[in-house]
This record gives sequence, C-alpha cells and structure tokens, in this order.
Amino acid sequence: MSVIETSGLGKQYRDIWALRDCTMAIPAGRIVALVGPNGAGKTTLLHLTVGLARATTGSVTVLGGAPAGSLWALERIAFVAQDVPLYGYLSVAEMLDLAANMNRRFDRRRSESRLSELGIALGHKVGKLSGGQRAQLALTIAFSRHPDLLVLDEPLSGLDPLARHDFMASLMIAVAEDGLSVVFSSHVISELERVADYLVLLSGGRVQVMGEISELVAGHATLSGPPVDAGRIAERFAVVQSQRAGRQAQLLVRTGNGQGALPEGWDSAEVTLEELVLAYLREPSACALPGPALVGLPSPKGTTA
Amino acid sequence: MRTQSIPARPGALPRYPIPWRPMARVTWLQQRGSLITAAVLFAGCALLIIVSGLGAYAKLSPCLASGRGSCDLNSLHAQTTELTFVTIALLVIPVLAGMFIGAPLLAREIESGSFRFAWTQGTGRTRWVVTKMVLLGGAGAAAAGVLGLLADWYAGPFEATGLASHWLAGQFNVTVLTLPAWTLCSLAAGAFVGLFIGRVVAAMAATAAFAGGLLALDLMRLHDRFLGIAPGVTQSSPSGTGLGALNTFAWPGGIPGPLGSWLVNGWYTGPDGQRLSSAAVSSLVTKLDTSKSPVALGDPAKWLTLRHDAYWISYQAADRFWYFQAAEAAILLAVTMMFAIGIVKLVNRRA
Repeated sequence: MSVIETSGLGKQYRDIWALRDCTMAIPAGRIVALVGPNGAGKTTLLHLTVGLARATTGSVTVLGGAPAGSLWALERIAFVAQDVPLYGYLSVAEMLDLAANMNRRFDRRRSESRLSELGIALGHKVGKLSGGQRAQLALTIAFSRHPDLLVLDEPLSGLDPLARHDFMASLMIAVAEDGLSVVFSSHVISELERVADYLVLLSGGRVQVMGEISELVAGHATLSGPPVDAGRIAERFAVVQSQRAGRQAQLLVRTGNGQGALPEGWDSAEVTLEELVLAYLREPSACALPGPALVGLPSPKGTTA
Repeated sequence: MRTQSIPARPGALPRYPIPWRPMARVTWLQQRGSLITAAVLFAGCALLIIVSGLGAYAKLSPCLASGRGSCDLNSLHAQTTELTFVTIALLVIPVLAGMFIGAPLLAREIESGSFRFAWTQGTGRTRWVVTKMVLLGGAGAAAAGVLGLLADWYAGPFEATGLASHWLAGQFNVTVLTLPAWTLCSLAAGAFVGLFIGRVVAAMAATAAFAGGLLALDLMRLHDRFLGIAPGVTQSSPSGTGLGALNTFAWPGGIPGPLGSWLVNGWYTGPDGQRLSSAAVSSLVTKLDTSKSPVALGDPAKWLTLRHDAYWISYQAADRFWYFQAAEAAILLAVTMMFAIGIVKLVNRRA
C-alpha cells in the first residue's frame, strides 16, 4: 500500500510550473527523505499531499487511495509546515488545547508528557519559545494526533546543530514507538542519511531519483582510473557524473546489480548518500527511478532500476 | 524494513458530525481578545442606553401623559441630543465589529502563515471557517439584537411625543432587525476582505471604508429612496408640509398625515385633477398664506377643496414599518451570504 501516490501530478502558479509530470508511489512504513534544490517543488508536493494546494494536472491520493485533503485523510496525516507556524499569542497548554479540539484522535496526555520530558513548560507563550522548542512543540502536536503519515516540510531549517540533533532524535523515537510513515523535506543531507530509508529527489519540478536508500547506494559506485578507459566504462554503466583531474578520471556510475570486472587500473568505491544526491543535483538530466516507466525526464542519461 | 498497517479506507468516505463544541473552544481560544473587547463595548453601550433611557422616560413622562403640545421643547434638547448620540454610537458598532473582529479573523491566519497549521488539522478547512463564522456571527447578531431591542425601548417616549421616529434613517438602522443584519454584513465583509487581502491592517482599513461607506450611502441616499418604494397616496392638509420630496414623518399636532406614517412626496392638483405647475403652486400657496378666511386659517385642506384644488401626499403607512425592516434586513443578509459563500470558496481555493 502506498502512503502517497501521484499520477501525472502538476502544479502551476501563474505561468510557472512548480511541479510537473510527477508520478510516484511511496510505500508505507518508510521514512522518506524528499530532497532537491530551492524551487525544485518539494514544498509544492508536500502541500498537494496534505491538501493545502490543489493540483493543476494529474492526481494525488494518500494512505491507500484517499483524496488528498479529504477529512478522512486530514485525520490521519499530520503536517508540520516550514517555519513552524503556530499561534504565538497562545500558551503552550492552550496550543495543545487548540489542537485537541481540532483533532478527534489527539492524545493530550501523551503531548503533555512529551513536553515535560523536553522541559517545555505548558505555561510559556508559544511566541516566546526558541526555534528548537517551537519545532519540538509542533512535532509533539503532530505525534499526539496519532497520524498514519507524518509530513514535515524543512523541519530542520533555522535550527542550530544541537536543536537539529534533538529534533531528529525525537522523530526517531516517536517513529519507533508508532511505526508511522514519515515524509520530510530537507536541505541537510547529512542528517537525512541517519534517519531516512527512502529517497525522493526532485529537480526542476520533476522526480529525478526515487527508491530505497540502501538499494540506491548499493546500486551506485565511484569508479576511478585512467581517463583513457573512461569511454569503455561509460559504455557499460550509466554515468551520473564524471570528473577528470590530470591522469585520473572519476565517474559516479549506476552499477545496478553488479559491476563485474573493471579495466586495469580502475578502482571502485562505495558512494555515500550525500555524494549520490549531490551528483544527481549537479546533473539534472540524469535520473534513477523505479521501473518499468521512466518518469518525467525527456532524455535521461540514467536507466531504470 | 519496518512495516506499517494503514487502516483500510472505506469505499465511501464517512460523514463526520460538525464539531460545534470543540470549534467553539477553538474560536474562543483564537478570538478571545477581540471577543472580550467586544463584550466590554457591548456592555458599555447597553449601560449607556439604559441610563439614557431611564433619564428620557423620567423627563418625557409629562409629555407622554399630555402630548407634545404641553412639553417645553427647549428643556428636552439634552435628551434629543443624547438620543442622536446613542443612535450614532449604535450605527458605528457594525463598522467596528467588521474592522476589529471580521477583518483580522482570516487575515491574521494568512499573514502569519498559521493557516497552514489550521487547515491541515482533522477538522478540515471548510468546517473550520464555517463554524467560526457561524459562532462569531451568531454571537455578534445576538449582541446587536439585544442592543436593537434596548434602542427600540429607549426611543419609545421620543416617538410617542413626536420628537423622533423609527422611520428616520438613524433609528431605522438600529432596530432589533437591522442592527444585527448590519453587524453580520460588516463581519462577513471584514472576513472576506481579510482573506482576500491577507494583511490585517490593510484589511481593517478596507473594511472600515466598505462598511462605513455603505452605511453612509444608506443613511444619506438609499434610505429615502428605499422608503419611497410603492407608497400609498392620500389627500392631506398642506400645513407644515411642502412640495416634492418630503422625507419626514407625520406627528400629531405637527406635520399632518396618517398616524405614524412616513411621508414620501407632496404635490398639488388643480380642478382638472392634474398636478399644478411650480408657478401655479407658488401662486396658490401665497393666496393661502395671505388669506384671512377662517377656513384657510383653520383647515387649509378644506380651503383647497372649496377652490377645487387639493394637496396630496404619498406615504408609507405605520403598519408597513416592519415590512421595510424585514426587507432591509433580508437585503443585508443576502449580501452577508454572498460574502460567506465567497469566503468558503476562497478558503478552498487558496493554496
């Protein structure tokens, strides 16, 4: 079952397409990292998923086929928006009260207990909390709704490293307790690697890379060796990115199930998620998508998995 | 890989009951500042009307017993001024409600971005906005209705003595029907403008301009035209009245006309039943004013009849008052509904 399923999804703001031809199915039970450069369409995709935006083309369904934004879906999806917009003039307790009255499945006791553990006093005004505390409060409210899907839009932006670490730790604990699906967008790729097990990379409003992170990492390698043999390598593998420096060529390639024997003088090294993401971001025409269909890229250098 | 069980989505999505009580709590939490201010304003207005009303009843009681003729009008100047002041204060209330409750209602959500929180909760954005509008509108209409009732009670002795009339533009718009209707219209206009503009201060200014402008237009132009719709016609005495648009009320011992009626137009007809020209009217009135005939002095209408002339008035009978009240309230509520529908549509489109 898919927690998010899109088909030909597109969103146009005036004459600019923020997202187009987006077709994907995100399986349940994953922590999905949604990455991409600024303006890639991450926030648009998340807003379409939680019903904050309406699709210009195509469709998006959630949690096994419910229309995004329907009451049924809203009860089961918790969303923490970018910049954590809460009501600054309310106290923390009132903010919980507000959320409890807007969500039938809200667990007040759980939220108070979690905030107590985090040292956030219920009497404090939300507007007086630090950025990290506000993010934790928003996350607490989201968890206390007992969602089946948690959607976080740039939850780490504006947080210092300590607050980022605490936030991710809280996320991991809560996910482990509830086993919910999580989709979150972020620029901080190093943080994603620790927690995410599924990657969706958007670029220019289109899906460029999608799949299990372990499979993506295992299916790519950095090959380095004499430039003279680089052409032969490129014939065997889909080259995502190539760099040449003097007598050394370095290719980040998609190896698929195995790379076999390499030409003499060539070495293979594993790639990290960060290297993989950066390579695809630098080569917007490359793609790595689940088969059988290529999604949205006119002349892909890459192949389907 | 972790696994997760997602509840099977029913074939047809279930209908949830509208969460009135929880949303009442949400509305209170979010709007309590403006609601408390409004409650204080309401209490102040009610107190002002009650105190002024008790004073008016005490002062006007001799006139009520014996009629306006026996009253010293000069001594009632303070009371009539106070009535005017209270009426103006009541007229301003809908504009203030639109500015300070209606306009920030949605503009603040848009301006601060908190709509992204509110509209992604389990209540859903349509229910969120509809329940808020109904609860705030209901409270506003109820409070305005109470003030309208108090205003009716306060104006009672002034009307009985012919010092004021509920047909007059000011009082007409602060009754138990029209004041809540104006309040609802202004609240809805404020909320719509706030949602459209998305800036609190700008929305407040735009609401003040719209609601204040509409009210001023009604008081200065539309009211008299509205009361001129399908009037009755009767022959009357020209004493104290005039020619053309009258826009005043009949009162015993003063301007003649059917008791409790609103006078719309006055005109003269000649022996052939046709309206007299301005020159002919001028000549006729001069003759009437200079005539020393006891009939002319005592009963100008009879004097005209003897000359085969007549003075006519068009008027709204006293029993039509509440029809006009209901009609104006209905028009305002229709405008309110248009704004409300616009709000729901905009909320659902805004993304």
